[in-house]
Amino acid sequence: MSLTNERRERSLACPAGMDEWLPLYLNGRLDEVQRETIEDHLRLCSVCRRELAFWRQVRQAGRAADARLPAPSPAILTRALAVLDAAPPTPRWQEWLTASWTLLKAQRGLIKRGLWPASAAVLGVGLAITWLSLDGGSSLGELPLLLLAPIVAALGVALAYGPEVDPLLEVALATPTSPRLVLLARLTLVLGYDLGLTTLASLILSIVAPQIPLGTLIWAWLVPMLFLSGLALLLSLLYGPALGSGVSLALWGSQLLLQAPLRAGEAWARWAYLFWSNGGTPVGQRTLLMALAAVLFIAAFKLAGREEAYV
Amino acid sequence: MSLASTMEGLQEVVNEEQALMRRLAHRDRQAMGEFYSRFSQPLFAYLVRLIGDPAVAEELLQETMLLAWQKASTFRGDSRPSTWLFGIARNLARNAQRRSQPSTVSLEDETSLAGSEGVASPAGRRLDLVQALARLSPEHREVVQLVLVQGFTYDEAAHIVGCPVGTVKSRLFYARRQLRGWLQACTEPGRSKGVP
Repeated sequence: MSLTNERRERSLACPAGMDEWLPLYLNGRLDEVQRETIEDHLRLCSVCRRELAFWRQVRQAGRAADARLPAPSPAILTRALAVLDAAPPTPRWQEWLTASWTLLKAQRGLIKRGLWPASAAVLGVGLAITWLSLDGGSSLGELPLLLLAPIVAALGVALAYGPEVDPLLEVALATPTSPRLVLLARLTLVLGYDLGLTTLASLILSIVAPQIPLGTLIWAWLVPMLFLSGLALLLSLLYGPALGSGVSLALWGSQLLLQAPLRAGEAWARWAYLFWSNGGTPVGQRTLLMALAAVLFIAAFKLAGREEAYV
Repeated sequence: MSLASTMEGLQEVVNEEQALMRRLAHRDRQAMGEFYSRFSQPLFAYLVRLIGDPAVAEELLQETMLLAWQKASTFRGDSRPSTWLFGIARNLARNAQRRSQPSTVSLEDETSLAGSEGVASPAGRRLDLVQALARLSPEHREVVQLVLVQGFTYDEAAHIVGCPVGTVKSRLFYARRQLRGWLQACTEPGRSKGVP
C-alpha cells in the first residue's frame, strides 16, 4: 500500500493523535488510558500495526548503531574527579569583562521579550501625560511618571528570574555560570534598563519644566524603585513572581491612596507614608529605605546562592 | 516485558535517578561512579551522533559529568534527571561546535555498523535503516535519537533541544517520511530516484 493511500485510510479510521502516540507507546511513555486506547485500536488497524512495526525497526536500527560504538574510556570519570580536586584558576580582569559581556548578552535572550517594549511604552506614556499635565499645581508625588516608574521596575524584576517565569532556568543553572551571576546579570539588565529610561525621562522633564530640579526628581523615583524592586525580587524568589508582583503592587497602591489624607494634613498619614512627602523625601526616610533595599537585594542573592552550595 | 510493567519500571528508574541526584548534590563520590555507570553510554552515543568525533564526544562527556557534579544542587526536579543531563550535554556540544568546524558521522562508519534491519530490493539493492538514519539531517536524526532510541517524550526532547514541542514532533514525522520514502524507493522498481 502506498504512503498516500495509507495516510488516507488512517485519517478516516484512526483516533486523533495516533501518529504522535505510537513512538511514545513503543517506549512505554503513555498513561494507562492512552495505552489502552492504542491497544484496542491496534487490534483492529493493520495500518497502525505496520506503523508501529516501522517505528520499532527504526528504534532497533538506532540502538544497533549505538551498541556498535566504541565504549567511552573508563578514565573519563577519574579525570573528571581529578579536575574537581584542582582549584579553578582565577580569571584576569579582561577575561572577567569579556565573560560579563557574554553573560549579559546570553541572559538578555532568556528574559521575556515583551518586557522591554512594555516597560518603555508604560514609561513613555507616563512621561507624555506628565508633560501634558504640567500646570504647576501638582505635587511631586502626583506626577504620573513618578507613580509609574517604581512599579514598572519592580514588576520587571519580579518577572526576570525564577523557574515559574523561565522554564529553561534549570538548564541555564547547569551551565558553568553560578546562579548568583545569572541573577545579577538579569537584575543588571532589567533594573539598568528601567533606571536608564526613567533617568532619560527625568532629564526631558527637567528641561521642559525647569521649576522641578533634576536631583529632586531622580531621588523621588529612585528610592521607591529600588525598595520595591528588592521586595519584589525577594518575594518572587521565595514564593513566585505572582506574589512578588502582587505585594509590590499592593504596597505601592496603598502609598498612593495615602496622598489624599496627607494633603488633608492627617498626622497618621505622614507616618504611614513611607516613600516621600510633597516637599521631597526627607533624608532620614530616604536613607532608611535605601538600607532596606540593600538588605532585600542581599537576602535575594543569599537565596540564589543556596542553589550553588557545592564544595 | 509488557508495556504496563515498562511504565512502572520507568517510574522506578526516575526514582532511582532522583535519589542519585540527591546523593550527588551531597558530594557523594560513590554516587558519581554510579551516575557515570548509568549515563555514560547513552550520553556518549548521543554526543557522538551530535559531534561526529568520538574523541571530542569523550571530552564533552567528561565536561558533562563535571557539570552534573557541580550543579547537582541546582537541580530542582522539574524535569527528569536524564532530561537535565542530556540538556547539559547538548549545550556543551553546541558550544563546542560553535568553537570548531562541525563534523558528522561518515556514511562509511555507519555502513560498517549496518545491522540486520536492511531491506533488499528486487534488483538486489539494499538500503539499511542504519544507513538511512545516517542520511537524515542532524536536526532530524537528533529527535529520532532522543524520542525513539533514548525514549524521551516530546516535551523532554523539546527541553533538551531547546525548541518548541511542535518542532520536535514535526522533525520526527519529517524523518519518518524521509526514511519510509527511501526504503520504499529501494523496494519498488522504478522509484529509485532520490534514494541516497
